[in-house]
Amino acid sequence: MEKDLNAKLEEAGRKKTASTKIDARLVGNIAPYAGLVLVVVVFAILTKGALLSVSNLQGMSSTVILTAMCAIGAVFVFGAGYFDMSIGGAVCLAAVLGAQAMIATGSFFVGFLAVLAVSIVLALLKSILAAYVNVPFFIFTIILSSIFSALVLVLMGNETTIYLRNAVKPLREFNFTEMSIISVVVLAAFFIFCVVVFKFTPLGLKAKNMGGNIISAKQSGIDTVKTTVKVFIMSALGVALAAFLLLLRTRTASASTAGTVGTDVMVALVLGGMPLSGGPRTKISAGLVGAVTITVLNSGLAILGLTTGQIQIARGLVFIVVVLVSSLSYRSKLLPR
Amino acid sequence: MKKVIALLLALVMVFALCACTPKDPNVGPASNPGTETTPGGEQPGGEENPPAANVPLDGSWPEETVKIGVEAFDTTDESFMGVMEYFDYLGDYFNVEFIVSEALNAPEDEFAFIDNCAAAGCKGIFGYYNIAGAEAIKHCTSQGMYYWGNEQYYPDVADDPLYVGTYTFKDMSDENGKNGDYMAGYELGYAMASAGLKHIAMCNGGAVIGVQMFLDRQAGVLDGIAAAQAEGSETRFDPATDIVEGFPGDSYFAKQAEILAGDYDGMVTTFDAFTWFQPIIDSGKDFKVGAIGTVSDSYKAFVDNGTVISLVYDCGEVVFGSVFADLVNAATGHADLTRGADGKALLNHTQRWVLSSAEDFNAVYEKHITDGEYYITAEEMAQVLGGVNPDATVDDVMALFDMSLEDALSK
Repeated sequence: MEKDLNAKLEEAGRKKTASTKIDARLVGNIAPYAGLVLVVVVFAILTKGALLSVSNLQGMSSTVILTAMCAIGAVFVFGAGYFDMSIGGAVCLAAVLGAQAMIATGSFFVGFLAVLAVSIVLALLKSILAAYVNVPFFIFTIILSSIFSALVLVLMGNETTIYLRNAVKPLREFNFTEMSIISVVVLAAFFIFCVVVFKFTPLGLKAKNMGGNIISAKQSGIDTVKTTVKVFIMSALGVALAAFLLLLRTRTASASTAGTVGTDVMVALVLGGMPLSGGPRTKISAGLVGAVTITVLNSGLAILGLTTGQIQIARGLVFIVVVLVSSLSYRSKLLPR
Repeated sequence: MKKVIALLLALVMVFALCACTPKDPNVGPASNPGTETTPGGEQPGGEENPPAANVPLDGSWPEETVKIGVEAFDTTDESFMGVMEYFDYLGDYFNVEFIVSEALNAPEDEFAFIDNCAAAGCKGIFGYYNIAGAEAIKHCTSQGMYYWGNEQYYPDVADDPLYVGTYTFKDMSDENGKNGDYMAGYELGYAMASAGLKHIAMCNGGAVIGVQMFLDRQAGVLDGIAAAQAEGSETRFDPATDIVEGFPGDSYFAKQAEILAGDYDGMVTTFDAFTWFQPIIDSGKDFKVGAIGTVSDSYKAFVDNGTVISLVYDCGEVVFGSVFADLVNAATGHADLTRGADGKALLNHTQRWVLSSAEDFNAVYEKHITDGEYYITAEEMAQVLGGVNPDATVDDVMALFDMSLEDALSK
């Protein structure tokens, strides 16, 4: 009799635990999307529709591009377990060199090639450090970020800002609407490309395995060096596109360009529901959803006319809410790596 | 359960914050000011803006709130806060609101702020700070908002009907006149080298990284010192050894310590002097300072004890008062008051004050800090707003803000 009772209690406990886990996982998966919808709805109401006006949607599409491009590309790197804090520095260096190439040649195409080449060279450098040097990778990226900034200062000499209007041949100017269309098209194409690579080629699976546990990934036969190089190249594509579109939009580059992108990318990934330690919960959508959430939030708060302090407090609180909800689905008892 | 409670509390705080925002009936899809009013002062459809008379200065005019975005680099900067306090004061008399940016660090942040201002229904942008130069101004006007500011880019945008002007310190009668930053440096350098000091140093701020404003100030200081020396001053200054480069940091403080330990008895800085006050006290020396700064409590004690002997000061309402006049005039259908005879945007001549005595400093301090008053009152401002005073002219606008220290002290 007592044994039957204990068995029933254990069974009930197991069911309850399973149900709680499913609920928590479901809530965690839905949280980033729910957070985005909530932010959009709340600010659309508070701003009486100004948030969703055509001109603001155009503005937001151009604003989101920088963080979104970098974050989508960074999903590969963070997913593989590499904590990269030098993304902002890479965008800045690529933008400055790209701008100088455009000014020297008067050609967007040459400028894009320069931006792409710089981004890929930097990615190769980072991947070599990540693959072969047995030091926590984020330490390298902190140093690299400083080196990139110093390089930019050296390249710019006595200039504080580079203007594309000083190009040897006039470079075409894109108006507000054209820039919005270009931004949306490029972002959509890059997002689809990354989803395909991540979901329908082995790279995504390998990256997630490496992020989960690099030792077991090696023991499973994954070539971690090749995978590392590939994930950094994917990130470099995002950096290059972001830097190029940034130049098209602002037509300037300075040592402060993309100064906050590094942290924005990390915040975007977390808001998008992806753990920064990478692993199996890595998803491409995290980069896009998180970047859009940040942009909508910033835009909404600015439209409301809050003071700087109020904006920072409100933004911090929203981040805490989304991260708390997302964390409901994190596994709290991992085996030691 | 704890997590749920934490989430609920956080949500309550977020909504409470949002609920604290000022209620504004005008928040809505961005109305495009560029299409509402034209630089000729006409309403859409060519209707003349009706002249106003007996407009009450109780914050009810203009009928529709004029929102103005403000680009800032440091919202805690004393000079900036002084300007914004003046605009707050004017906000009690006129229906005008200011939306201030966070600290803008990069061109993309500046563009995003301009976009947000457009969505918030701003009629114009005040470029207290500008990173992307003429590109930012074009981005602003392309969205139908007026823009005020940045003399450096004036030649590129002066013909743009939505660009309404900026200030200048240049001598307008001299085609080769030096700009305000040069003149500020010159005044400081000349004053310090004429003060009977033996050996002075200079802090050059952003000149070391090529920031034009600081390069101009540095050139002015050097020329000012040279001019005083040519007139017989025996003050020593050697640019090779007597310059503290850059902004406060390790090398800056090392050089500062070297100067305070050496035979120097004064220094001139092309930015504020706050980081010098405590080290000067600690050194126990009789050390004089010339700086570009503000009339505030931070400086008062050091002016009164004779440490600060020359202060170049941008009086908020004098230097930046034309922001209010130009943008409000443009936004209320009187954009003709923002154009010169050549049809270009106004280049408002104004004056930087050099406070070279404690008496001058304290007179301004008493007016601003003690009495909370301004040299240009809301009533005087109203006289140059076409919507309040139909007889206002461009000359009235230009004259109001071209106020010397002597003019101000005699008011």
